[in-house]
Order: sequence, then C-alpha cells, then structure tokens
Amino acid sequence: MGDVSVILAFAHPLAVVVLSTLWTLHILKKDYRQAIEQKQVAREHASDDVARVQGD
Amino acid sequence: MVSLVEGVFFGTLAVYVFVGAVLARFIDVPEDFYVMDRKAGSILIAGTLFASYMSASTMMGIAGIVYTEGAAMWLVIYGSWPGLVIGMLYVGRRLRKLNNVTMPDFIGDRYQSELVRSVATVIMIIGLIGYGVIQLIGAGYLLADFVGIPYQQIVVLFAIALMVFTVAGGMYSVVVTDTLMGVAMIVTGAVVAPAAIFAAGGVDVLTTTLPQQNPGTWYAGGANMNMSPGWLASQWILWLFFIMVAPWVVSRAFPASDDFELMNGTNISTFLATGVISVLFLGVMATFALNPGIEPVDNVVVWMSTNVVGPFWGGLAVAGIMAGILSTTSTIFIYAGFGLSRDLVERVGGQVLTQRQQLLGARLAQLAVVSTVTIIALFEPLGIYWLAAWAGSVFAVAWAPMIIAGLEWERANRYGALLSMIGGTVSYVLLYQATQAWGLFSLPFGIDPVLPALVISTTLMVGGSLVTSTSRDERAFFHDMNDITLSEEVIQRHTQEQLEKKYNRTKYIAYGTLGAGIALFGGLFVLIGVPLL
Repeated sequence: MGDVSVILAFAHPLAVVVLSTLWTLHILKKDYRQAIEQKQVAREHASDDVARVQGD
Repeated sequence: MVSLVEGVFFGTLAVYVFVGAVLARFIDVPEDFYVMDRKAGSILIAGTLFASYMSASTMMGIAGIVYTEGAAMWLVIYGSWPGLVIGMLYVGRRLRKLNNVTMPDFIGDRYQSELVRSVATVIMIIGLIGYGVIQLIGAGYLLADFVGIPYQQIVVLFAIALMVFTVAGGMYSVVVTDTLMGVAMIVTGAVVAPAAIFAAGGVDVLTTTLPQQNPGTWYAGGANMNMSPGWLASQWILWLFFIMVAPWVVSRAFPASDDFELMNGTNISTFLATGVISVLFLGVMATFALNPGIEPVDNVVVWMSTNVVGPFWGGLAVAGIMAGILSTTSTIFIYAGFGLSRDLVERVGGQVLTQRQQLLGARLAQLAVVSTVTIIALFEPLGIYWLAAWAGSVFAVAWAPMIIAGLEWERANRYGALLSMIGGTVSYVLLYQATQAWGLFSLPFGIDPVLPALVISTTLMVGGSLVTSTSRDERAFFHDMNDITLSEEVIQRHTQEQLEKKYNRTKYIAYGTLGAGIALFGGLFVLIGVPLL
C-alpha cells in the first residue's frame, strides 16, 4: 500500500487539475466553437451584402 | 505591548468590518445582496472559490490529522477537490442558467412543490448552522489560547464582525474579502510550509527522516490510525458528494458575470487550492520532525506561523488562518440567512414584497442567524456536536441524489425527492448512531455510514419516482430547463470579437493551469515521491 499511497498522493491533486481543464475545453468546444464560427459567417454575409449594395 | 497574533487578530476583524461597511453602498436591490448583481469576474470567482477550499477545517482540524498521520491520507481522500469542480462546472452552471439566486429556488421549481422546497431549506439551515457553529466554537477555543482573550469574548467579537460584514454587504462582502484574504491564505502554503520543510532539514525530512522514525508515515491509511481502503474510499465519496451540492460552493457560480468567468475562476482556484493545500500538508508533516509535541494538534499551522518564519510572513499566515475561519463562518451564515429570507419567507410563504422590503428581510435574516449562532456558540449545547458530525453527510445523502435526478431525469418527481431527502437523512443518522455511538454493529470493510445511506437515498429517489406519477408541470419545467443553454445568452450579449477574445483567454488559462499543475505535482513527485518508491 505504501507505493500506491505515494503515487496517489501526488496523482490525485494533479488528476483534479486535469479534470477541470479538460472539462473546460470540452465546454468551449461543445457550446462555443460552432456558435463563434456561425457568428463570423453571419458577419461576413452581412459585409458582403453591404458591399453588394454599395456596388449596385 | 500588543503581540503579533493579537495585532493580526484585531487587524483582520477590522478589515472585515471596514470592507463590509464600504461595500454596503453597492447594495441597492436584492440581486446585489444575494448574487452581487452577477458582476464577478474571473479573479473574484477564483478568490472566493479558493477561500472555500481553504476552509477553517483545512487549516486546523485536517492539518492536525496530517501532523500526526502524515500527508498521504488527506492528499488521497480529499474528495472536496473534484467535488468543487463538479459543483461549479456541472451543478452550478446548470442552475445558473435558470437565473436562480439560491439552491432551494431550483429545488422547489423543479419539483413544483413548496413542501419539497421547505424540507430542502430546513435541512440546509440546520446543516449550515450545525456546521458553522462548530467551526466558530473550534476557532474560538484555538484563538483564545493564542490571543489570550477569554473564549466568550472571542465569540462575541467574531459575531460583531460577522454581523456588520454580512448584514451590510451580503454576497459582495463575502466575495471581495475572500479574494483579498486569498493572498494571506496563499502565504500559509507557499511561504510558511516551505520554510517549515527547510527548517526541518529540507526534503530529506519527508523522504528519509520521518519514514525512518515511522515506516507508516506515507501510508494513505495514516501513520498510526491504519485505516482500511474501504474507509478511505467512503471518505472520498463523502467529501465528493457533500461539496458538489454544498450551497456555499454551487452558489459561487451565481455571481459570475458570464460562463467564461465561471470557468476561469474554477480553473485558477482548482490549481491554487490543490497546489497550496498539498504544499501546506507537506510542511505540516515536516513540522512533526521540528516539534512532535504541539498540543492541541489543531494549532499546528498557528505554531508554524509563529515559529518558522519572521513576524511579517508569520503575521500574514495567521491572517490567512483567521480569514479561513471568517470566510467559512460568514459564507455558511449568509446562506442560512438566504434560506430564511428568500426560500422560506418569500418563496414558501408566498410573501409579495417590494424590493426594499426584500432587502430589509434579507438583512434581518442575517441578523437572526448570526444572533442564534452566537447564542449557541456561547452555551455550547452537547447536541450541536452531533449535528456538526452529521452535517456534511446529510448534505451528501439528502441533497445529492435529489439534485442530480432533478437535473438529469425527466421522471424524477416530488414524491421521490421527499422520500430520498427524509429517508436518506434518517438512515444516515440511524446508521451513524448504531455503528459509531451505540456500537451495535460495524459496517464491512470499514466503510462510513454515508455509503449505505447514499445507496438508500438514491434507491428511494428512483423507486419513489417510478411508483408515483410525475406531474405535467414537473415535466414541463424539466423540458423548459433543458431548452435553455447557458451559452446562448453569452453569445447574444457579445460581439464576435469579444467572444473570440473570451474564448481564447479561457482556453489559455485552462492550458496554463494544466501546465502549472503538471510542473508542480510532477516536480513534487520527482523530488519526494520517487525517492520513496
């Protein structure tokens, strides 16, 4: 149990930091990445429309 | 001549009173008082979460156990670390999107029942007061020894400071002072603990001297207690389930100004807390080699602060311990007050109040809670010790299955919730008394009564919901709740550039804390762990 205890003593707090980081990255990817890309596409469309109107 | 500890004691109380009085001017409406108008950024969320991790029990009771049993036990069973991450990123985020200001807000609405809301609130208030009073009593005794002021006077001084602080500033006071005092708390781990290791002879004291004196020093079961793996596992589960639904943890998600700040605060505080607490425990362990006769053992961190560093750092470290005590007690009392004013009077009682009346009610509730707690702490009735022993476990068994089922399972209903809360609490208390107090029988593998009680509570939640019908309103609320996404409001509120900036900042902070975590714990493992293998 001694060796396992020593490994767990240092692995446990690190595992919590890893959990927090990976969960955050998962939320960013799942909830925000696509929405930001869609917002960018919408903005590009809007600026294209403005350019087209000015060209006309 | 005023001693260092006396100076720090009165100085810290003065800071709390001053900050509470200054922040009172920001309180105009109840939202300000309960959730600081949802304006907290990453640093404030990180500061207040870090203070939650560094509770009075961490720096006194748990540090005392680490002193005699070694650091491995608490580094392994500290389920409150993952509990806080889950409490913020899962429970807190889910409740935040509903614009809740207290947890019973969600519980009553989800189960469409004022009875469920009342039972949950009463369990919360009793649990919080029990847990808070015992912290106040413990801190009072500890500081009475060091400051040289009688216990009763310490309790009254604490009560006056807490009263001004919580009544005036509400959540603003808690969040801002937690962050200010976080610096002092870091000093206890980052300066005093390494100084103790250095004074005891360096890292060798942890890898050679102490293991030679007692080969069990690095056993997770404890150097002397030799607890079973079943006990260790059940302690980890107890802390995990307790902290992931603890109202003073989950409600820290509500003041965050947006989802990004919430995630940043969680990541920064998780790194800081795991790092500072781990180093603190190693320093406490090394202190045993410096002085194996500290009595009572709860005083070990105060002893370190006054003996292994100079007055400046020692003073800051004692302020950190004081801050831990005040942060824990103020936070616990403020949520007991919120439960009284917001959940019982406004929601269950159905009182329609103006904003001014709500604010006055919230402040009067704080006054009532602090007065009650002070009287209990002064008279120290025997029953309060039992209440405190049960408090954490009761949250785990009464609240966790009911809240998780409410978030995840459409069929979960009020009957299951009531059965789970009442059955879970009663079964835990009976099992605890039968095994620990009356000695009627013992549980296999040395497990804690919280484990079977958690199984009973979950079974009652599921069984009770399956054999009764779930109302249309409960199902409708469940669907409405899942239709709302937390990101939607954030995405609408910000331009694409702002979102990109916040997104990247959150990503870099997450990677940064991960890198710092790997460097710190990898370094500690190479320095201390490898020589022990």
